[in-house]
Parts: sequence; C-alpha cells; structure tokens
Amino acid sequence: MNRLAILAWLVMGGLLAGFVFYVADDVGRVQGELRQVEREILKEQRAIHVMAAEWSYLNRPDRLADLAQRHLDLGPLPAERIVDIGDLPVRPTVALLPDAEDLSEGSKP
Amino acid sequence: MIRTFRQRSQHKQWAGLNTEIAPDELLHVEGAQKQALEVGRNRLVLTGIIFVLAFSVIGLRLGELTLSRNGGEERLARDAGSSQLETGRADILDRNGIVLATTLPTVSLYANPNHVRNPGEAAGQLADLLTDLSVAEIEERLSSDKHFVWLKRDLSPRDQYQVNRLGIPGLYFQEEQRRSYPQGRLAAHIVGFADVDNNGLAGIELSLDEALRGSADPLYLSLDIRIQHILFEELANAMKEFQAIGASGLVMDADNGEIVAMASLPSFDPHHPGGASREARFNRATLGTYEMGSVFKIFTTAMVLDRGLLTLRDGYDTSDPIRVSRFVIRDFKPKKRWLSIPEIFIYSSNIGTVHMAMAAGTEVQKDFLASLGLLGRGSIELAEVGDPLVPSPWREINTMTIAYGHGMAVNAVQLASAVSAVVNDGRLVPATLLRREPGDLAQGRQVMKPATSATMRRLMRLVVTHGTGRNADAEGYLVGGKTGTADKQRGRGYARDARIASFVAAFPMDRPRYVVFAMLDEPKGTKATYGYATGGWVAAPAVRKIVQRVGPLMGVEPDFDNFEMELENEMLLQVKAETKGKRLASN
Repeated sequence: MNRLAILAWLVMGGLLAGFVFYVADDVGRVQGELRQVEREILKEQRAIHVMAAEWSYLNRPDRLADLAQRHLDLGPLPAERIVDIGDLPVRPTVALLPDAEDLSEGSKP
Repeated sequence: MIRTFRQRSQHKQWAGLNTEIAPDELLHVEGAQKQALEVGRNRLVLTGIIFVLAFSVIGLRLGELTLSRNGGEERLARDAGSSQLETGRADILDRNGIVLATTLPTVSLYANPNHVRNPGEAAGQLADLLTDLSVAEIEERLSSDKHFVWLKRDLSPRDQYQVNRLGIPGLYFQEEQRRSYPQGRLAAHIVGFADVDNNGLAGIELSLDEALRGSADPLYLSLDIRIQHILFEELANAMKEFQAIGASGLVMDADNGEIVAMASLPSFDPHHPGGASREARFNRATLGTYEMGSVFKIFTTAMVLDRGLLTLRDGYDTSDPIRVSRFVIRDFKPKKRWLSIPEIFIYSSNIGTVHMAMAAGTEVQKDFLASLGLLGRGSIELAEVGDPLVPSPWREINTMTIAYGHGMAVNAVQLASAVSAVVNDGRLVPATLLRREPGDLAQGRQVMKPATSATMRRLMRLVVTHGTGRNADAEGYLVGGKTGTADKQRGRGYARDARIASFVAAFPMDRPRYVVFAMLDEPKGTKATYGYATGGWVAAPAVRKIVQRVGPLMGVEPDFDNFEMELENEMLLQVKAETKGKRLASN
C-alpha cells in the first residue's frame, strides 16, 4: 500500500516536472516568436511611416491638379452649378406627356 | 552538581527517544519532563498549521493563476506588443491629416581615421561620391588624429550602396533621422525647417520645438493644404501678372480664428533653406508689417458707428483736400461733393475718413485700435512675428493718417483677426495656427456691438457691389471687403511708384465663414487694368478667384438671390439724396 502510494506520487511528480518543463520551453519559444513579430511590426511601421510621407508627397495639390487636368474630364465647380434640391424640376411623368417616346427619340443627337 | 547530572540524563533520554526508550517508559514521564514534551508538541502543531496555511495560500494562488482569466494576460500581451516606432520628433500634419513634416530614417557616413589605411587612395575613391568635398579635404579629414569624422550626412540609398561597394576599411554608417517636408515650398513659411540634427530653426518647427521633441503624437495645424494650394497659386498668378516683387495672403476662419491658409511669396524649399535668399525666407504674412492703406477705413468707420459718434445719415463735404502743416490729404479719385458715411467708405474717400477720425479724436482711436489687437503683439504660434509700428507720440496728424491706414504698420494676421472681429458680430478671437477641436468655441472678446458689425457687413458688401472692390465679386458667395493701396515708405517720405496693394474680404456676407486677405508688394499696372496697380485692380481679382475656388471646396452654399440683403444695402446708398442738404448745413 505504502509503496504503491509512493510510486503514484513519484509518477505524478515526474509528470508534473515534465509538464512544467514543457510549458517553460513553450513559453521560451513563444517569446521568441513574439520578439520576431514585434520586430516585424516595427519594420512595417517604419515602412508605413515612410510610405505616409511618400503618399503626402504624391498628393501634392499642384501634382493632383496637373494629373486631373491631363487625365480627367473635370473642371472647377462654378457656383452657378450648385442648386438647391428644391429648385430641381419635378420629373415629368409619361401620362403628362403623351408623346414622351417621340420626344425622347427626337432629343437624341 | 546533582542538577547538571540530571539535565544530562534528560538529554540522553530525549536524544534516544525513537530508538532506545520503550513505550512503557514514556508513561513514567512526568513533572518537568512532561511539560517539556507538551511544549514541544504544541510548537510542532503550530509550525504544521503555519506550513499548511502557507501551502494552501500558494496552492490557491496557483489555482487562481492557472484557472481564472482576469484579463491580466491580455494587458501584458498588449504592453509587450506596444513597441511603437520612435522617431524622436513628432510629425506635423494639416487639419485633415496630410503630412507636412515628418522624420525619415537615413544614413550618414563617418570615418574612424585610425582605421583608414591609405587616406590618399580612399579620398580619391570617395571624391566622386562626396561631391561637396574636394579630394584634399577628404584626405585631410581621413588622416586626422581623431577617432570620428563626419564625411557626409544624409546619404541616399544609392550613395550608401556605392560607398559599401568601395569596401574601404574605417568607414562606417550611422543610422539617423532626418526631417522631410513632402509639401515642399507650399507651406514652408509656416511649417519652417529643422537643421541636420533636427533642431527647429524656423516656423512651427522652431516655435513648438520642445513640444515636437517630447511627443510621439502628431501635431495638427489649422492649415488645410487644399486651400493653401489655392491661395498660393492665385497669389503666384497675380504676382506674375502684375510683376510684383512679393505677395502674401491668408484665409482665416471668421468664427474661431483658425488660419486655414497662409502664404508668403516668393517661397523656398525647406529642404535647402540655405540656398534661399533672405527675401524668400522672410514671412511677409507674419513678420512683415505694412501700412495697410485704405483697409484701415474699416476700423475708422466701425469706430465712429460703434461709439455712436456718427450715423449712416451723416456725411462730409469732400470737395477740398485737407491741409495739415506740410501735408495735404487728397482723395485718389475725388468725387468733389458731399458724401454720406456709406459713400465715403465704398468710394474710399481719404478726406471723408479723416473727418470721421477727427470726430472721434486721438484717444478714442487709440483705444479702439488697441481693443482690436492692432497695437500689441499678435498671439500666433510662430517666432517670426512682426510687432506693429505705432507712432509715438500719437499726434493729431497721426490720427488723421492712421484713419486711412498710413503712419502705422501691422502684420497681415493682426489685420485679418481684426477684420474677423468686425464681421463676426464684434467678437475678437485670437488667431491660431493649431487646429481647434470641433466644438471648441474659442474664447472671444466682445470689442464692438453686434449691430455695428451687422452694419459693417453691409458696408463691406457695398464696396464690392458698388464701390472700389467690384473686381472681387465672386458671384453667389456674397463677398464683401475693402481695398487698400498704400505708398511704400522710402527713407523719410513716400514713394509714388512703389506701393502695397491689398484687399481684405469676408464671405458670405450674410454670415461670414472666412476672411480672405491678399496683398501684392510693388505691383505694376497692366493694359488690362488701364495701368492701375491699386488694391481694387490687382488684389481684388485674386481674392475673387480664391473665393470662387474655396467656396465649393468648403461647402459654402452659393446664394444668388439674397434680395433682402442687397435691397437693404441699396437703401443705405439712397441716404445721400434725402439728407444731403440738411446735414450739410449743420456741418
């Protein structure tokens, strides 16, 4: 009986020791991984930082104006083109315009 | 003797307790021996209890740590992962987060001359790369006795590669941080620049140097880089068109004093401030103080109306120039008749304005200008701020000339702040270059009655609809303003051919959101302006273009039929017809 108990305790102790060793080893490994990830984060942050500066440089208003002028069909927005939504004419319904189809065809260039 | 013997025998007994003493012998223990046994047992129990307690505490704590999740691990993990990028100097951003100044990693080349084996040969190899040093200079540095000599700061990646390829022993790279300004010359005067060791030398970099060093959080300026671009471009266009030697301008939020754009031309590249002329580095918008000319009539008019000295129905005969000792005060375009106060303002009559100032007197004028912050130093967050030039002593002749903006010089920021107060119900808010948080209503000081401000808004609108500022009328945006043309001082007198032409405006005039100021230094008239180089001809069109572009961008709603305001304004001009004769008699 006594011996069996001692044996059980020994086995348990052994298992625990093994487990503790495994955990300690795992923590060490995970810590290494963490350091690696932190290094990578820092590297990415540095890259983002440089790219933010580059982005700002590429978004210089004079450069954008030049690009817009060359590649887009857009121009400055004159004040006359800004109207209140209430000023928009109501969309005519078909019932009001019996010749709606003719009109729409006729209006095509 | 006997005592000691007994004690020794006791010792013998105790020492051999487990092995030698038979159980029946224990029963005979009594007296002092029994007591000692009791004490020993008690102590044993007590120690046992303490141990049990200690181990159960450890056990419980162990269980708590392994089984419970109190969130501590997450915090630990976060702390461990919070390895933030340290640049040593905070970024400067515009109000929308566009980078204006940042710190970028770079490398610098240095040498330990003790390790350089053949300085002459090394110098020859390096000379192609280090273009700003001669072969002899490099050799001299490489053969010195020091342990450390800089060869070149801030190498490009390509240069670094080339130096590495040469493989010269004794050369090392130092990783460094360097300030970079992605927007370049656009906001150079405001952002400023830092030296190679990242010490701020000008602009915000200098004035907020400490704050930038101490913080990792970026600094938000009040600038909006889009408006800054519009202002810069329009000023540059005007400067070119009228062959001016310089220009400056700013756009200020009329409600809270934020400067959303401020430019001084010519500008410079903040990466190479040493290569720029003093002229280019000079901030005309803050450091330069100028006699603003007729723009000051805004303050003279507001003064007499606010102090109840005159009403809009009053007026003066402007037929004759005013002669004071050796000075003659004339009108630029004389009307040669009686003018009402609104007319004096919109036709920019010097004679009429001088009469108005005289009605107020020196003390009132001094007091009023001081309350608008025009006599003291501005509050702006820059080191380059020019103090106003104020006459001392302040004689009657000064009162007269200051009425129309001569004999006293202020900087553009002060002027814009004061005009903001005039149009913004009389609330003077300190100007700032730092972004105010939304909802942070700036502390303002009431410097005039809201009613006076309302009248001034109408008068300034009239200048643009009927007076000298018609070229500033950006349709739909209800621009109001005042022209200013001041002859530049040359020596003790004034130069006839060199002038400062300016225009200060606010829009939309029914509820002003922005104050715009534009100034050209020594503009020349063109055919299109019939040879005129006055504020109304050269600065007002620039303001119109700025408003036309800024309005849609900032969501200012165009208003083409504010008949109510325009009609009431018209009525102000009718004043002359009905009161002319009556008032003339009393004057």
